[in-house]
Amino acid sequence: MSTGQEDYLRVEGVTKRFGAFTALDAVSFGAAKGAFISILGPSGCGKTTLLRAVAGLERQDEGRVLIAGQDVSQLPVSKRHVGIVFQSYALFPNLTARANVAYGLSKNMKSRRGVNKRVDELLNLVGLKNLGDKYPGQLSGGQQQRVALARAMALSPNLLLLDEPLSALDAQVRVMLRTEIRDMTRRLGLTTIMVTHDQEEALTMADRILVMKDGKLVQNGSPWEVYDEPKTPFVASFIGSMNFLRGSFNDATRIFSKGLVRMEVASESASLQGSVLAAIRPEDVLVGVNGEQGRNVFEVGVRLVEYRGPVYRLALDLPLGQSETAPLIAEVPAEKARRLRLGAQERVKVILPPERVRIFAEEAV
Amino acid sequence: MAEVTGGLPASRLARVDVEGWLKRCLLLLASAWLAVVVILPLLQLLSKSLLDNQGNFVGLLNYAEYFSTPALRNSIGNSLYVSVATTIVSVLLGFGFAYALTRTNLPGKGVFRSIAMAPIFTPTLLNGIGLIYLFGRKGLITRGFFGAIPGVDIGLYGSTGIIISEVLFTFPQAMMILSVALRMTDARLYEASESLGASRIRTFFAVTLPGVKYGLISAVFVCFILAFTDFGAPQVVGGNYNILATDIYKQVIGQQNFVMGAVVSVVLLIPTALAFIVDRIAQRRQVALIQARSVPLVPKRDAVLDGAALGYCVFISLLILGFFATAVFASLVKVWPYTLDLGLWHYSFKGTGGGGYQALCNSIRMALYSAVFGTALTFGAAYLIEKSRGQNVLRQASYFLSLLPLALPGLVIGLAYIFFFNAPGWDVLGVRIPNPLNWMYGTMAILVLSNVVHFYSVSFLTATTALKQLDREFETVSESLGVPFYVTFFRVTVPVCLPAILEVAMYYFANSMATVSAVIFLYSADTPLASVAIANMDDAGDIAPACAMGVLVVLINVLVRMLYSLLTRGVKRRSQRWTIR
Repeated sequence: MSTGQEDYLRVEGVTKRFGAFTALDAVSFGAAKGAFISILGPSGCGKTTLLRAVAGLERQDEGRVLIAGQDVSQLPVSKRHVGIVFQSYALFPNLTARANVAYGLSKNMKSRRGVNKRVDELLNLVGLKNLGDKYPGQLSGGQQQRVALARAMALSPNLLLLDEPLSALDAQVRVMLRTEIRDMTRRLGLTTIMVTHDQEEALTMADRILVMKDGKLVQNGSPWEVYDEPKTPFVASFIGSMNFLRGSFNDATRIFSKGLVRMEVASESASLQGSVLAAIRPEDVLVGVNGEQGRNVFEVGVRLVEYRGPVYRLALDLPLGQSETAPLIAEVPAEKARRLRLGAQERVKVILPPERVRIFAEEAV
Repeated sequence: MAEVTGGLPASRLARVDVEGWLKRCLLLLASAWLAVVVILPLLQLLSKSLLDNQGNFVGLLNYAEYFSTPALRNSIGNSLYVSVATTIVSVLLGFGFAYALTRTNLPGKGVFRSIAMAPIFTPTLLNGIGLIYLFGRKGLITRGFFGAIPGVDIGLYGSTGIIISEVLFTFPQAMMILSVALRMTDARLYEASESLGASRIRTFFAVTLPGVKYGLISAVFVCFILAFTDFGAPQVVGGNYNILATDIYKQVIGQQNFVMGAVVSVVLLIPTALAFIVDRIAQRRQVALIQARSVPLVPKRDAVLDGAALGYCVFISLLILGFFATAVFASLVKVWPYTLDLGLWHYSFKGTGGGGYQALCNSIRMALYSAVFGTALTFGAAYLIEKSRGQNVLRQASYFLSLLPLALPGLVIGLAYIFFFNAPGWDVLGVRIPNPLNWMYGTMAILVLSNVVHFYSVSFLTATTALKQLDREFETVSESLGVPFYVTFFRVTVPVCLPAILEVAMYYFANSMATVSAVIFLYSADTPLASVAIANMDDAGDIAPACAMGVLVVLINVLVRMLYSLLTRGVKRRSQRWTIR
């Protein structure tokens, strides 16, 4: 875990219980100044509780939170200088966009002109220059989101906290705002934490992704690490999709075997012996290689071909024995699939490249 | 772990979260307030029923005496009989009306709804008086419209009169609850039923009735509680038919037997409290039935059903209008039924008791104070309970205390307040505690307080519903922006909830104007009230002035109601601009 001294935000062993339920179980992580952190996990994994603990909206039972070297564990949200954007935006419906943005400013700035200038700045920042006099009900979802963002930024917070900020928006607006939010925080050097259940959002926006499950931090890594080097089968299957095959592994020979299948494994993984899970992503399965005899080549039956636009998704049957097969999913770019003229009930050859096969200790996926 | 957790010393901790403490204190204050004005008087009432007239503890002896006196005991059966009969009739009539309003293409729904709601603004005493002019010995129907046609005597005085008055009183309530329940439905259920080939009758029993099950239960118990505890109508048309509510009054005012009054109050309280509990459970289930993504039902055109609905609603509306027309007419007639000259003779209130226009002015003042203080208190308490984080135990306790007054009949509140506020002090464990609230006795303050408590729960629920519709994170957002919660309360919460706040104020005003049950024990010579004046004038045989006073009360309530509609329209246009897209 990177909890080095240089971290701008540090969360150390934070535990939060609601009665008998442990929502956060000794979670620790750090974030450098200006970093964009994404907390990803299925619903009920504790990701929102973690965000609320950082914000000061939930008081942790154990552990501490440090912002810029200062222990803020016991400070209420009003003293932590954080900007928060909620999933619902929580815009005050009876106040105009301007008044919403100015809400926290009036108290902190002496002159009216100062407030107005700052509000103009903020509205410009989020691209709502001319819509300041509209009420939230008169704005589109994306515009409301921007007002909420401007309001959260008004007091120049130390930390920007986003709780599923894009989940209520249309797909296209969501994609656009992703880029905009990321650009803005980068430009301002603002340390940001975003809770999301959308893996694509996390992968595209974040510098680091924290994957959570059952109140525990399962993996803390860059998007690339989390996707390509998942630490557990859970992470592997939660982000992207993954084929799993249960079998035995010989660490000395680096050979995985299950029934008729003997497969070389060349990826880096902890030394494991005995019963394991072998895993490969659907896009790593190479389909339609003819006459190749190399490593990890298997002849499989095609059960189903599913058209998905840019790719075809194939449901394959990997023979394990006389009549026993294991399901294998492969994704083939549309162009290649058309060239191969793939159809159901055929038999094709696939390669499972040794460097793309990962081995996990057996655990419930 | 203690070393790791303890970032700051406790003393600094206390200073940091001033707002949290302020909120907690206010919440505590709200609970304490309710405990003082609800729980303590009730305890006082309960303890009074266990003492003899000299103040010695006699255990359940008073209850034994109560149940061994046939004249008293019989009232329980009588009360149950009239309330159950009222409930059945009211719920059936109300269901028909609500069904017509929500599930048919009835024209002029707004007009029919307003007419059906009119009896809500009426003191129940006037219900009784109006009926006397219709079905009494010299009534319009009894005498066949002054001899124009053969008359019919329905034997008004007694249970018949009480039941008709109470039906008039409870019908709007049943209608309102059932139209809410009937409106909350999912059109897809009906489409599914239709697509499966079910007949209309089958659909009615398989979809409609189960859908409004909890609404029906709630309507039944609300009507029951209202009829069971009402005092006004039985006082006027009850004759020799004794019921619990009139017994309390007779024991306390007629015989000055406060102890027996307390006993009857407790007897009245038990079924009411049970009905209240069942109603609360039903309400909670009803809420769970509604799904966020329900598709609203749009009634289909159906000539037969629409025609029947129109006929039914016209019939009921004519009955209600006829009743009011009779009351107004009777109050204007010089000497009913002999000299039918019309004029304002009875509106001078000269030569009658009760206080006349001074009483009316007092009532208006009391209703205004009740509206202002009641609304502020209920909305403030509802806000603290709904929008505070943590303090779950305290919040639940306050919530329970806020709903408790719903189970308390007005007469019980009135009597409990006599005992509580009139007490010079209490001996607790040998220490004499003087009553700090004793000064309120016999003043306007106690009248206002009794109204605030009497109508607290419904107002509280209205406020809570409105507050629940606000985003839960408003408080969090303002907290994160360093804005104190009270600023957000006045800048956002109150303006957004203004329609609900005005509705609560309106409810307090109209009910305080019309109520007689709680205040009849609490008014003094300095604070005569219109509703009490109606009771007293009727008692003295001055029925026409009593009727006139009743008409005035209704008139004021209707005027205030109109003012309220104008106001809400103006408010909606100005402060609720944001709702217009």
